[in-house]
Amino acid sequence: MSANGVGDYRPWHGERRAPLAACGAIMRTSLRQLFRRKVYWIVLAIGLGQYLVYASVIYGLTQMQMPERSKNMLLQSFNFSPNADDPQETGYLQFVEAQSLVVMILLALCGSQMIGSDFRDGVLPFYLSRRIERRHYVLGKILAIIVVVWLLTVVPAFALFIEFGLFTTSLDYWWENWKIVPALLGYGLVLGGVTAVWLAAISAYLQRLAPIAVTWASLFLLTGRLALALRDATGDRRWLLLDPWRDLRLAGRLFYGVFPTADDRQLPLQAAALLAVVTAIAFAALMRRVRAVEVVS
Amino acid sequence: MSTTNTEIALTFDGVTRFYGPVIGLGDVTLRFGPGVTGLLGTNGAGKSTLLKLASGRLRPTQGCVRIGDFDATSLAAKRLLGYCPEINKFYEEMTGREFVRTMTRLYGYSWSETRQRTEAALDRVGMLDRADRALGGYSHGMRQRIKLAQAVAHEPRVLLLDEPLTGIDPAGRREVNQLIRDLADEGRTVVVSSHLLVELEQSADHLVMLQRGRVQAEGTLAELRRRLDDQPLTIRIESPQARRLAAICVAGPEVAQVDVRGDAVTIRTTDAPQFFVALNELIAAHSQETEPLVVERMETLDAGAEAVFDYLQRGAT
Repeated sequence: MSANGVGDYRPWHGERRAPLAACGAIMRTSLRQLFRRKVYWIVLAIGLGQYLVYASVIYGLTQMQMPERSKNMLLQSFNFSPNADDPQETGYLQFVEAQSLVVMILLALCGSQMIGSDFRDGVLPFYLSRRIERRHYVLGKILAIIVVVWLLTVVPAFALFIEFGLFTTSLDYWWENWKIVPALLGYGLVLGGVTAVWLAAISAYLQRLAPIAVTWASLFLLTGRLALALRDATGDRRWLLLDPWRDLRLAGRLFYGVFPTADDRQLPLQAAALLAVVTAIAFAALMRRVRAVEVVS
Repeated sequence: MSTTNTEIALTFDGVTRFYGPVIGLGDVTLRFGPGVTGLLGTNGAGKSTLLKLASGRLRPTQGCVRIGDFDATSLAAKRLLGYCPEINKFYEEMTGREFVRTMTRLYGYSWSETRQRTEAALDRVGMLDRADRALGGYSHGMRQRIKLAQAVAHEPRVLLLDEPLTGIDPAGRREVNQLIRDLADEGRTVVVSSHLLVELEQSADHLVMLQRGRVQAEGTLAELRRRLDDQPLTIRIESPQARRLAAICVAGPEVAQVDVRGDAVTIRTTDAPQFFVALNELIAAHSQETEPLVVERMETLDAGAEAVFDYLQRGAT
């Protein structure tokens, strides 16, 4: 322990960043922790495999000479259209939605590592004794999950959008289809925000990998099956609102204005409202859990 | 604690904290000033509650806790506070340097300032050369040092250390004690909790003893001991005339028990101040004899914090 040199303290008169900036530090720490494990890289790589397929399709459409019929077949097989004015303009959206399964798997795995471990190992006092409040901690964690979701969905979708523009002869593609950008951002915000709050709440209570994964999978698989069964039994489509993935897609597509079927046009607002209510409850439960740990531990 | 208001860094004013129907801390009024204050108590005595209130992680049910001029739960107060929790776990794959840097960053410093403060804090706790190892590979002592580093990196005015000496070997304990002492000597208010009381005996300027959520006693070790003069005190005297000394002492009304072993006589007294006066008079009276009484060494065996605490605890139960 040195008495002099760097061990000496000195006054500092610099401007401190707002506590909100600490959310960024918490987010980065969470992401660093997550990606120290190889398994997350593997899942991420699998998820981005789909990106390579779509990137290849775009390359093929723009760079290779092929008959119109073959082009149409290729577009149909991937349900891909890069244009905003196309009534079937679901190319990038299709990509994001095709990532659902791998996003779900990655989130099921990372909940324990990013949030569960904080509660399990009791590390919250380290965070909460800093110059931050509980909401900053929670926001930092939620941001970290949103980044994970976006790494698999919105970011590669934007990469595809940029790729298509670069490969076409004119850069006007980006200007003509600018609506795709806010639509993707809006979709990503709904997808990332809702799943992040839900996962954070589940992870804060269950903490360990197995229970989190089982609950997460049940939430998205079993409720989906249940929704279909109830719809079939009663003939009422509103039962489909029980399916969270479907709700996420419908609410996200509000930004796009395009829905898979005509029937789906009736439900997006209800789906958005339902998601908002459940997310608010999950957020309140999460905040309560953070506070409870402080009191009980 | 301190004597002037300007020095008081941490204040508890009539603080009560309930956990449902259970009282965690009851009507506690304390002033903590510069120096090391030892917070003593058994499990459930209220040490952790007091530290949580001081660190702003709990709000009092009644009363108020202030750091400097700020409410302890405010962000301004947290800026003045360094906290070293009892828990030893963090992200085990993270290196010590990353850990301190992450924690320091949460105080709102720029990247470069965070880096400089991290290095300074690591150097200060003697971990600069081991900071790139993963936390999972650290010993108890190294973890305590790293925890201290993250607590002091932002130059806090008040430092709360929850059981910082737990699990450290004696050599490491001496070093950490010295570090705590150094931090206090810079004018910081250092509050150290422990249930191993002997750990605080060397470093603490003041002691606060908690029992069942209430302050049972506070003051320096000597002050606390003086309050317990009616308690038995065991004194060991080494003398070449141990048997003769024992025979003379046993006649004193304040002596409860005498035991002679070799050149040492162990005396248990019920009135220590009176016994010391009587002993001095005896030695003076026998100094003119052909074989005067010689006292080579004298020590009190149970005047340490442990004994004081035992006495206080017995009094409370």
